[in-house]
Amino acid sequence: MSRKKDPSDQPFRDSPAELDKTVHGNDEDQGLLTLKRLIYRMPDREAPAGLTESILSALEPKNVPGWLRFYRWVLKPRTVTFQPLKLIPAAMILVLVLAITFQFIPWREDPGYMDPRQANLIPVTFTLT
Amino acid sequence: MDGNDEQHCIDRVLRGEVNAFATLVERYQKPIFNLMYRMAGSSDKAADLTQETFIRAYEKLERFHPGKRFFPWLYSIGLNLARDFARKNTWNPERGSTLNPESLSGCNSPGDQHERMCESLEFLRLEKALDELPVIYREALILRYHDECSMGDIAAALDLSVSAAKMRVHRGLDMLREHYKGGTHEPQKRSL
Repeated sequence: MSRKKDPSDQPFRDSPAELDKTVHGNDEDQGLLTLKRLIYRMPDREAPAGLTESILSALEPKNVPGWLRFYRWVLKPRTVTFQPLKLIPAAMILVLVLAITFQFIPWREDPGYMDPRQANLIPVTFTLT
Repeated sequence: MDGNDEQHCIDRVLRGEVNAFATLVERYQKPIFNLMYRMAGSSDKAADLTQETFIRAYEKLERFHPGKRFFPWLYSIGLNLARDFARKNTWNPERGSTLNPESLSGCNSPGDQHERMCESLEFLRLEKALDELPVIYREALILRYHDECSMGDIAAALDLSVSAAKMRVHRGLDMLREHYKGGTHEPQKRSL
């Protein structure tokens, strides 16, 4: 049997027991806190030596189909990390590219569009004979 | 080992690398063995049940949802196995005392020895009080205060909602206090 945690550790610093203590209030029954500390420091029994080897010897290599591996890959959550400072030059280049793109797009006017100021005017056609 | 490392190991196992599973076994064999010891009351049976838990987890590994924590999933497999075992077998503990002479050998002074003995007796009393609790409360307490699991992990391991897990820990603590204070001398009963 081994002791998992050294009693000289600062017990419950940021641990669940400490959190619970906060939740229930600081004047919580001292008995409960003692129990939490005892459970925290309760010695563990060591697993028998050779257990890992005996488990591994009983296992056959897995042959998982490719589609299942792909499905699991799709399901896997991912985290993206970035430094905003490093993003600034990239963002400026992107803005520049967009600005140039919009500048040179040949905008064509809609043929059905009519200026509202001209809506009351009657079109007149002059014919030279 | 964090969640990403675990996921990496699982991916390797699914690609056919059996040895990658060793990392997970070594990481979690102790809490699973201790769970089984509490349930079976004997080292040999606990070792068998621990082995069976890992083999079953290996067989079902492709069903493990990527992104979830591995330990609660493994614990729930172990707990189901342990419950099956407890239903089929009578509980006959070989409970070794926490008070063993070897633990006192490193003590320099009689004062240290006395302190260590008192501590061992406290642990013995605690183990007895925990044994008297229904499994669902005992395991919630062990997961929370010994293995330092989050409420989310406890809920996943015990197949509960988070609020039910909180309730279970809270009630378990109250029950444990009663048993610990009372120090009942009734014969131990196992309630699942």
